[in-house]
Amino acid sequence: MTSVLIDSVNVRFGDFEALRNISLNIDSGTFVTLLGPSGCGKTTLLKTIAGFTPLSSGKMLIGGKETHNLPPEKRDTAMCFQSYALFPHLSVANNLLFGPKQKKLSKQDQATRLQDIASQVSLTSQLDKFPPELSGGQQQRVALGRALAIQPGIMLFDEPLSNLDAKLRDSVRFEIRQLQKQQGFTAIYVTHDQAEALAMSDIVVVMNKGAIEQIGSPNDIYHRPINRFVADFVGAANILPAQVLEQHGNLYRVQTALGQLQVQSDQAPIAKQTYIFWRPEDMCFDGANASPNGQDNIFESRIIAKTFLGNITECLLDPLPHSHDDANTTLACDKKPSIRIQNLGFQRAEEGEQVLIRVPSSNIRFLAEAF
Amino acid sequence: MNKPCTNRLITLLVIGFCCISLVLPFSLAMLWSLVDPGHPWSYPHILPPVLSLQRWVDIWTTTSLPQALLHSYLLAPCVALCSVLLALPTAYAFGRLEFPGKQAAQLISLLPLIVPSFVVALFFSSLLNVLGIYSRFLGILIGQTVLFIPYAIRILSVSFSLIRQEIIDATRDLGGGPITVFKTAYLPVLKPGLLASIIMIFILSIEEFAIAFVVGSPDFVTVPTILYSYLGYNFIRSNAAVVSLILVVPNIFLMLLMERFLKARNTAVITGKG
Repeated sequence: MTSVLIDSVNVRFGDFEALRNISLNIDSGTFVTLLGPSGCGKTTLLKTIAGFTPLSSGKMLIGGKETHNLPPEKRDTAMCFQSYALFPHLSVANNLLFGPKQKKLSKQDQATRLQDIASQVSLTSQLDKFPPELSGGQQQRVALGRALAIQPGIMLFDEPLSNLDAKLRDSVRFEIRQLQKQQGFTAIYVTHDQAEALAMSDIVVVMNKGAIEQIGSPNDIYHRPINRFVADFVGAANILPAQVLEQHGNLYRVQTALGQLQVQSDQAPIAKQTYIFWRPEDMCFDGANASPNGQDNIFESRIIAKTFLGNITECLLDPLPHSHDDANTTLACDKKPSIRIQNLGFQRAEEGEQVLIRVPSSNIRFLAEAF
Repeated sequence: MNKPCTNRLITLLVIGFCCISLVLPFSLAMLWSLVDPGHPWSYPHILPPVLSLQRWVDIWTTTSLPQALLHSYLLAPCVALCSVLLALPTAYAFGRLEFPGKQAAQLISLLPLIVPSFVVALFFSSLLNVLGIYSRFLGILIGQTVLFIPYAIRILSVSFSLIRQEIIDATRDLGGGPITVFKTAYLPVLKPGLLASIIMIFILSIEEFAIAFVVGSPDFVTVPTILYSYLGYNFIRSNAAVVSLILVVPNIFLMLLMERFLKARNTAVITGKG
């Protein structure tokens, strides 16, 4: 329905640079998540798209139209606020109809629109109540319905689920995604919750300190992060500085604080001294029965802490010095890294125990960041 | 002490306080105003010997009280309206904007409250002569407006600060222009403040003496100037009682009205956050 083009946008508040050189192309009908820690500028970016915050420089097109001097009320956007921002003095029905009334819809169209929206967000029985009489989840649905009622080309979500409890969050998350697929609007969704971002989006935009770190599909962002920030912010990660020693085809031998490791990568490292990373679930305890092709990394570790979370067991490992390690210890940092491992189900290993850990070389990746 | 007992004690204390501070003076004023001119109420009579409405009739027919009432009740709404209208921009700035020197400006805007109104009145009357404003009504109107603006500013800047930015944003986001924004985001929150300041200044203006006396006397009378003429050295307690009752009773109704409006509207201000 509506695409957004953001071209080298900067936003400054006095001396503070809230957004630095943001360029982003959002295709119509996609679900885009702006993900980042608090204060990274994701909400500011959302507000510039809505028209509440003026650009300091750069340009922005919504649906091919230059947005300069276009006030929020004239933009094809509707926002779902974090605090819901419902009109407390208006009934649920009047809240939902607020947008259509501004658009001067006929009485009959308003009535049908109200019925449609109320059933979509399952509020048909609450229409006569006032916002303060509703539960948090219901208020959230009024906010969603109120924005949907103007049938915008772009829906903007500002952490809409942060005031809901965990169970409700999961179901509303699913509902929003379903609605977006049905109606086909473009969605721009701000969150600091990486699970939410991965679960809902077509495209995830990871932001940090007012700039974009990486744009990609959830799979890309999770499995092929470009730097330490993205790797660490999206999910848990084991990140080690590594020095590339030699290369055989797509197999690299690197020196790390854990000793020498093998990395199987189609992408060449960007420098001799770079970072490698792998996810906690990409390694396992079964070091003893490693595959015979010799491409697995095996090292001995002591378990410092163990947490059983039901579906997985998470352990914090203290890697033990490699027995047949060469004396090349330039990278054996003064601080030995601790490693996180997550395996499915209940794991028998106990705290204090020494175990053999296996990391398949194809599970380790280079980050596009040198040191 | 158990809870019901404490509650009862507090209730009794409150009732006792009300009796001493409100009911007693009022009923005494009532009694004094009904004392018959021919039969004075003096020691050893516990109650006035003869009750009549003669004092009320006398005052109504012999003094310029009807005219004073007209003046007072014409002045008060004008003063209230002018003060509130003039206070709105300042209150908006105090409540919704950030600017250097805001604290100092807020303090200065309250200064007129601490200057005795007679001091203001004396200098103000000569200022009016210099400015060439000879209309008594206009003079008192300007003087009282100056005197009461701080109240309006104080009340309305609190109201303005209670307006939530997201509600304004949401209104605009859903397609509302400036007028809709004012009606949806501003007015519901401002309404109690507007009513409170209008009623409060109305009451203050009706009771104001200094400026009305200094600027208005001798030919422009208001209810307080008549009341004060019965105090001082030609003090007649019964007549003063009549005038003070005329002065005070409408104000009590206005006060009750204000209470009601404030209570009815407050829910809309506080709630609405999930």
